[in-house]
Amino acid sequence: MSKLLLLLKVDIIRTFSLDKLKSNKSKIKKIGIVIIALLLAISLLSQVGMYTYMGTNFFMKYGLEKYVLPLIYFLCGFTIFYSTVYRAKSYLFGCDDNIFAMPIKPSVILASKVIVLTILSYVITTVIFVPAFITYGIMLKLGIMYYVYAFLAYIFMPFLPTVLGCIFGYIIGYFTSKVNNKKIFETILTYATILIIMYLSFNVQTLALKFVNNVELVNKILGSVGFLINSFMAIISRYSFKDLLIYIFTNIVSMVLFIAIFKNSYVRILQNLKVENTKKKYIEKEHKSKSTLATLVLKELKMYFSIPIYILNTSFGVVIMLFASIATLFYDKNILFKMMEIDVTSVPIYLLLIGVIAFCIPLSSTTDCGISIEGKNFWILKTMPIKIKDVFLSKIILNMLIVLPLMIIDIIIFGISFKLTIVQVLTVIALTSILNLACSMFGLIINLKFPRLDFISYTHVVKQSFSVFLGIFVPLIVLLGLGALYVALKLSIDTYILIVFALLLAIIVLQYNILKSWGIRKFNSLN
Amino acid sequence: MLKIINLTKRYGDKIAVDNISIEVKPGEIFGFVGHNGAGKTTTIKCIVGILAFEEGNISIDGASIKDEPIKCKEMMAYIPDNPDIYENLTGIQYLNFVSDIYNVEKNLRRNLIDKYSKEFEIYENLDNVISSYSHGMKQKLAVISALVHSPKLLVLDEPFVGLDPKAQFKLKEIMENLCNEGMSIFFSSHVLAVVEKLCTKIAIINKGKIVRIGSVEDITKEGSLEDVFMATLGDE
Repeated sequence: MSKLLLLLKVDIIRTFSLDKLKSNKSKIKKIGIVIIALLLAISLLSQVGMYTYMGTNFFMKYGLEKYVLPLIYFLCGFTIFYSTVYRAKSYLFGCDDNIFAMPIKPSVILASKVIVLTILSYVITTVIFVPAFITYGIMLKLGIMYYVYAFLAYIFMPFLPTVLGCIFGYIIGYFTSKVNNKKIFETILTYATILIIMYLSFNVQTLALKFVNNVELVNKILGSVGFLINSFMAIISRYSFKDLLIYIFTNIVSMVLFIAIFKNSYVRILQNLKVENTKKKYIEKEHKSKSTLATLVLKELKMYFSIPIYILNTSFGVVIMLFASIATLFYDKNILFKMMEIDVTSVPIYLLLIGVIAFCIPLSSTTDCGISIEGKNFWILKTMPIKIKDVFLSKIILNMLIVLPLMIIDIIIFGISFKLTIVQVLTVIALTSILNLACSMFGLIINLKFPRLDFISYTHVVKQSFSVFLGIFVPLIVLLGLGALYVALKLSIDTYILIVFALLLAIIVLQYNILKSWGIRKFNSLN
Repeated sequence: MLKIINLTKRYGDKIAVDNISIEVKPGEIFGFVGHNGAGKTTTIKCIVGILAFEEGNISIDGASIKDEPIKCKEMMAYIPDNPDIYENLTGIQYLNFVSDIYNVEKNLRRNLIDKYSKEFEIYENLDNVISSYSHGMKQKLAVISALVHSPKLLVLDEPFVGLDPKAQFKLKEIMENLCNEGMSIFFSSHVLAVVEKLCTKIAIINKGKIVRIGSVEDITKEGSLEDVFMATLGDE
């Protein structure tokens, strides 16, 4: 087997965790996982099909249906591009050192990485493009040639966007390797990208109308710079064999060129990224002694701010809410509710605000992976003379420190925008703070129940662990239940808020007792 | 200082440590040797409170690790075989973190950090993040963090792995000096020559059971520690 194939085999097994299929999981569990995956796939594919149906209907009204698939092609390409940029940092530039000690050419290592990224891009292409082109074909009653050409377009579709994503990821990697504080730079960059994507996705309707009104301009742009989309249109609508060849050639050549050009600088960038800032010479400073709890909280804060994926995953809700609250001041008062498609006339604004902010709290929980994140350093907490309740408290305080200040600012800005009274603002602050405490405690309990201390990358524990999944969804279900309670009981707002307060306090007391007894026992049994 | 009485630790059906008893008195350096997987690290992890155990008792200066874990941990320091310490902190931040947890007084802390970091030649690197440290530097930092709160009992798992010869020499010297001041040291090692030279007492563990225990003089009557070790476990 060639070195490339050998590397690919190992990379694919590691990326898709195929080794776990051979694990000791029972057959029932394996079948369960397959069924859940199938259900998710069916639901995703049918949703994309439905959106294509709606989109095609909209464009048919203006006689512009020929632009539907090119638009989906663009959407697909952009999604692949974005996800590749996002993955490139950890995947392309997160190589094991020992691979470079082996007699393998850098071009082979890079090729293996790019091919695996392309395989990952096929997941996106399959989910977005396949149901779309089938729905489109059925709606327009197209013949067999359409499906053959669309299938060929699908096969080569991920190549160029993946390569472009790698180049962009490469540029980010290059600049990150030059910057001293790599982690902050990375976080800011990712936030900026997410905000741009959110802006585009929330303005999709306006953009679609602009597209319809400026179709001639779009044609001109396509004619000059979007030659690949043009080729794609020719393949889909005219079954042009010449354009199909150009399309395939462009996609394949882009990948080959990328590997050929970047193979040498790849190793250099990797070497730069591995070099931490070691130039500082220690100068003795005055140290202030701190209490155990303060020491633990400070350690939690330092750990939190040194893991970009942790920051991104947990501050997303409150940061987006901050932008939304500022937008209500200067742009549109009801933007938040429009974004979430909530009818502002059905429920009082005051309650809606509580609901929307409460919705962000489980998304911002740092505790649902707070124990797991200790990973291989867990022995430090276990061997030090620290009360376990102080460890728990430090994890909860971190969550409060991350969420509360921003949340209070959000609430005050919303209060100004919606002209709430001071009592109402204080009530929202109190209620959401108590909810935050309850969610933090729940996250801790769920992480103690489902810890993952043996993770390889922070992404596994912050984004893909079972405790994080439960830590988000269980509180969200409880929140929906509380919302349903308001609708079902038709209580006055004050009575309803009092009931919610009482319920949350009861949950907190219950969780406190669980942590005090079972939680401590469970912590002691972990290693 | 350290008393292990009839300790048994199981992993499921497998007995990792089988009814062992050890005593380390103040001022003693106790060497714990055995094959890979013999039960050394498991015993050490039970002593320092990482692993719970089913049978027996471990006490530090009369306090049981099961009943008074905080009191026991206040008196001892542990250095693992692999120095996995908070990579996101700088060296000095980690040392201050440990000092704060053990309530080390400001001036004493400054003096000890200054002394040990200079002796181990990482003083100038203390402001760099630990992730930039080499394995040996991390090991040195772990050693300093254990010494900075002046424990009564020092528990070390393979402490010389990854250290350069100068640092190994320094560590041995420090261990001897600290024992002369009354500290007890319990450590595991595969470097039998060092164990023989440094320790006052030795135990050889095999398949979870202590097969030889006693003073260095008694055990090495028949030959060097290496000879005794090979004679005892060579065919295993």
